[in-house]
Amino acid sequence: MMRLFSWSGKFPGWRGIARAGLALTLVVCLSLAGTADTARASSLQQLLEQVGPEYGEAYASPFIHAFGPNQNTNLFSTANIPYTGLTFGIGVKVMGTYLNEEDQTFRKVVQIDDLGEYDPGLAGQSGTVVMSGPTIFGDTETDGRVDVFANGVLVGTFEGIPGFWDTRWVPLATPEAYIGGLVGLKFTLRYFPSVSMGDFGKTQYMGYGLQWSASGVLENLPVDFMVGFFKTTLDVENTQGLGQDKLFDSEANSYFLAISKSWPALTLYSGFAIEDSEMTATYYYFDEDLQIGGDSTFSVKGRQEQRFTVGVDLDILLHLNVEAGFGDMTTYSAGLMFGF
Amino acid sequence: MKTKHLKASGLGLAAVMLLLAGGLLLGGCESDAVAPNETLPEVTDQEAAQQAALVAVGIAHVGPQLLKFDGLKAGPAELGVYPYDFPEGGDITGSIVLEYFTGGEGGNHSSWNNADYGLLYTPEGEEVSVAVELFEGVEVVYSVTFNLGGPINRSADTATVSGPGTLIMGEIVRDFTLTNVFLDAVSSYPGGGSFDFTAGSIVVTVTYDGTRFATVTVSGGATFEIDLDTGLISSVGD
Repeated sequence: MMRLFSWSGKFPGWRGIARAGLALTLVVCLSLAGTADTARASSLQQLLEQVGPEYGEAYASPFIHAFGPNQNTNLFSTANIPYTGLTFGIGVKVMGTYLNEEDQTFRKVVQIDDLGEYDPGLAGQSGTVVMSGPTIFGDTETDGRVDVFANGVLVGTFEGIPGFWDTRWVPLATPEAYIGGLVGLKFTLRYFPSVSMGDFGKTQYMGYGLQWSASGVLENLPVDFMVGFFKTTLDVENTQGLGQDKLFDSEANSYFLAISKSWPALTLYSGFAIEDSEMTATYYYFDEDLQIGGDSTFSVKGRQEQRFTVGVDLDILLHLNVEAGFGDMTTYSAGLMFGF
Repeated sequence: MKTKHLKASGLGLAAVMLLLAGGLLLGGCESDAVAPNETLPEVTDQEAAQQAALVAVGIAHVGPQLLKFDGLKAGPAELGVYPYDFPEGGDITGSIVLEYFTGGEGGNHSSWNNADYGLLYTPEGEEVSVAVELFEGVEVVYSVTFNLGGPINRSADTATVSGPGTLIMGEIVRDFTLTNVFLDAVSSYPGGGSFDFTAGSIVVTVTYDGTRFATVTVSGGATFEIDLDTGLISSVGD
């Protein structure tokens, strides 16, 4: 007989809930501390508004390609979802994409038909513009540069912008809650309202997804089996006040299948996901050297389209899981959930 | 029953580990590089010739200093070794070192005014900057380093120098080698000699003839002419 309500684990008690709350606070604080590097003089928006779309897209590319995989990380920690008895869980997930070392610098080469934009004396002259320097996660003490070549000769050099945060880790932390246990279904929600993330700006994040475990119908398998999807959006507010609401507007989707094997207090899990992400940046830029400006908008699809995940979940009072995801980008994540 | 359970557990573990191995195999452990790291485009014959023209102009401006140098106006210095700073406000800025010898190459250091052999070079780690107005209203500034030397004829105030050097423009660094370039104290147009200039896979040979125009021959066969006053090139036959 199907039970409509049951505990999926031991109730951790109010002390456990308080501990989880403290952990959540710590993670959020750590995340904020990471964005409050005093070595940086400007906010991300203030840096970007100094450069045009070609420079901005190249500069922000590690951020663009890493945030999608981050959003699609740690979406499950077991393939076993009860068929009878509701379960609830709440906690926090923290994840980071570990960038390739080469992503701390960039070089973008653009062919220009008319260099008059860079100097009136070069009007009608075609040439090459080479933008190079630290990316958003590059050296914060070194300015980028823009070299303009006409007929193979360097005819002008303009100052670019420094890195925003010198790191190879692109982090994300989010609260998460789930409800499940009805015919193998589990609904998961991630959400934080628009909150200031230091120099990153005001950030809002939301995600939801549904998982279904086949364990109830495929009872003879040696492992539990589950499929699901998750959709997320992450926005960074544009505060220029020029009618553009979002500096960054990103969305990510993941469609995954997973297997897991559970022992008392321990679950090993693994999964494969097909995913996509896209980020659009919109801001008004003004280059003081060139005295030119305009709307800068670029939209980039995330590089990663599939990943393998492997992880372990420890169920000792709370659920603590750690996992690694391998695709075009490598992500690591940990989650702390308590459920009842 | 217990054996069956253990087998099932083992299969489950194996399945999870298999997926892990597959993931590591396909994905690798390190993220792919996603920031653009584009290479500079290959130069064309014309671009290589124009870059060589900058060197031609630089040599024509800097080289005669070996003959024009006046040790009486310079500060105290070791005999035969004279640091020289180009005057501020001119088209050339930076420092060079001039060395003078008697007894030819490998001879003894001597005063500048009775030398029969000289060296002209940029100190280690330093560059000389040259500014030319290549396009209307657009001043092009580039740097060169060099290490030149050759016999000096003091009675005629001429010298014939050879040696290597580099052209530096931002990320672009090109090598060149002078061969018997004839310098004259009273003329800003070298009277003869040549230099080879390498731009990627293209080799350019610039030949001076004592006039305002030097000839550029590109390894692919194209020929250009350099106006040593402006630094501009024009295709021969246009």
